[in-house]
Amino acid sequence: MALATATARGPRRRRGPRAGTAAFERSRRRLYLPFVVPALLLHLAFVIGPTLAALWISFHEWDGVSGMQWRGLDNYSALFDDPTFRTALVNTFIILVVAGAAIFIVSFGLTMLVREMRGRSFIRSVLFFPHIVSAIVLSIVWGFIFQHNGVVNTFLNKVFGAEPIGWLNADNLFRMILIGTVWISTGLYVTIIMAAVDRIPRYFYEDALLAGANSFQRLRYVTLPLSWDVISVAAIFWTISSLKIFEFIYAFGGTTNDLPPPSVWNSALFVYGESFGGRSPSYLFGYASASAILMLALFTVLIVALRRVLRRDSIEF
Amino acid sequence: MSMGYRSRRRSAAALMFASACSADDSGGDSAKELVYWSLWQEKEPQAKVLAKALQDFEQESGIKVKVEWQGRDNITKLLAALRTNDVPDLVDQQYFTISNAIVKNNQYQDLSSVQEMEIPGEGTTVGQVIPEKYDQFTTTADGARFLIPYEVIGYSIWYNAKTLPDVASSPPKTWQEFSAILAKSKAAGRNPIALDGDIAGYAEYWTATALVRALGAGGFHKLVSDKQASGWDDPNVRTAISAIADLARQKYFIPGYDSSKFPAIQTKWAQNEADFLFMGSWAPTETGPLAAPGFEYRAFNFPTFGADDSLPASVIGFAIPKPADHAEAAEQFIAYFLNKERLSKISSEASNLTPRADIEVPKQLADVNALLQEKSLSKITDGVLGDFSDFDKKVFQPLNLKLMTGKVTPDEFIEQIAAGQRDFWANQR
Repeated sequence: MALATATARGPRRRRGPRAGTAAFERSRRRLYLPFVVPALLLHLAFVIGPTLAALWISFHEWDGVSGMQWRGLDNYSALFDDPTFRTALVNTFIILVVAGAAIFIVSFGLTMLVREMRGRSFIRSVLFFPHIVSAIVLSIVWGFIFQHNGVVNTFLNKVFGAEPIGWLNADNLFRMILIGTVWISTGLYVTIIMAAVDRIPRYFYEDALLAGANSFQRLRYVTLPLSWDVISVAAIFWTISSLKIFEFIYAFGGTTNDLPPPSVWNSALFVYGESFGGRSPSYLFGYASASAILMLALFTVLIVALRRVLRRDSIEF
Repeated sequence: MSMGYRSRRRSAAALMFASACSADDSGGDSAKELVYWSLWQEKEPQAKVLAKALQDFEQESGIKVKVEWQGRDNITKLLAALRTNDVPDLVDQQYFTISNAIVKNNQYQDLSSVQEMEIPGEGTTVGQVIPEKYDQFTTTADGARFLIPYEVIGYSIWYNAKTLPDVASSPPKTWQEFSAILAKSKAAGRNPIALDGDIAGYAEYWTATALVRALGAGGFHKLVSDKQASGWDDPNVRTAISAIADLARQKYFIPGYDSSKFPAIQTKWAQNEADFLFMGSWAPTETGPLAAPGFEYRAFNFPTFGADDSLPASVIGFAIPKPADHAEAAEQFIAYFLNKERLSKISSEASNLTPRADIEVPKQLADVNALLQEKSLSKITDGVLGDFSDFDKKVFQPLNLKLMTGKVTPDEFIEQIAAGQRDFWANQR
């Protein structure tokens, strides 16, 4: 992402260039449009266009086929009176904050632990593995592992003689979804953070050691400041991807034809549940679009705020 | 304004299409091609039966058939396709999925004329072989026909006659008789009822049918449609809700019913780990491969509270979208497929029930078929799932699961469902 925007900005002008460079710059500038326009058109057609269409649809009542009925902001006010939407909103923020905090804490812990170990590239691959496998597959496996007669309950029963635990019942389902989300996502953030930490020259750590810093102080005064730019990008990245979590909840909580119970919906499932989802879909496209637009607006504000909070002068080393 | 938007979208789509590909799609020059989007996937037995019939139809009529084995979300895809020029001529699904998607918005073709069509190879018309009792599923309030059924589903309580010979010799008719059997089963250390509770719709069958028993067919539907939610304090409603709550209170459901993944529990039932399963007539085909040796599928009607003893049912049938280019060919195929010999393959090869009373049924469906012929029919979930899907999904089903796992008492259920229903309707501004 960061790379793409940096290059897209194009060449900087310099004063008094030599003739050869100027010709080169001119031809580069000539190529700028042919390179940018196709991508821009695709982006407009498949991202910006549908987003604007969703905004327009969100002001209407629409079943997907008949003419749209203007509703103004009624869809939006109805959302706040809808207990299912409020639950989905709260769930989305719980995933963002609670699962997010867990992912970053675990990632840092693992980074610190694995950094000094032998065979760490192998460990890194193992940690990254859940991120490669499709979330649908993992959620199905998790379902089998944690269901009433699943592997976990059988193990607990054999070893401790424990009664089966209802991991997947209505009380525990959302907690299991949080744990699953952390497990799936951690590998990616370990990899990102570890790459950032690997860049930090060893002599900083040696110096810190000589100064008598313990491992927490080394994290606090060396690792964090020197990898802050990467961490802040990773935090933004998590914020965006947490909003889009869908498959794991859908496949873990639901079945082939059925949605998970509304108590575990996040905003993405709400959009699906109010439009195409379930045995007898609701086809409330205006309402579903309103919820999607609302979440987009909320998260845009959140990301802008987050970027301000996380902004630091980057340290060159 | 809305029409303007729509026609703009249509012409834009048409323009893109015209420039993007040659004119092999939709239009007069392929008048003899019938496009069918099936609810079945290619390997399902019904798909095989239909594929054979379509092949024969193609040869006999000279009409080319293009089948897409879309699977269960064929109607969702149809909804999206209705905004383009690329609409199938023939679709099939359960009646409520069709009515929910294309009846309210008038995107279906009235099939009344198909009723009058003669079935090829028989001297009878379509209307003559499909009993009138299915009309409640296939017609709108003002009598238009949006569906011609070719498969029927009856919902009944299944058991293994080999392990429960007493039940087989005198199946329970009333709720009291049923309760006594459940109590006896529990006392003998067995699990009386199997239920895959992660499918909210399966749990709903119990409560919805109990409410139909208490209020009569259409009673639950009427209850839900009331914006004031005033009917919930009816003593008959309380009887039904208490009966269902009692199943959880007495721990009649097999352990793990609230924390397993479908089809774990119904498989346990097929392996004799529980006595009863309330399920559609697909139960024997779905559980058969994993059933205990010698499993003898029998079924009885959901017990009565005194008055209503209708059989909860549903139908699967053909519909033709309004903008279909080759509606006539589609109609021809519908009449062709309802021929006794061809349709009987749905019974003999796909092991399901058909709307034709003169077709022999598979042995394991004999009980359901007898109920289907004898009893009046009510819609499964009393039609609430189809007509009030948003309410059903967001308000009724979650609360029903709480009732059936003993998290709320009947009083709390009634209070909360009435409040939830009022809020739901108040929010439909």
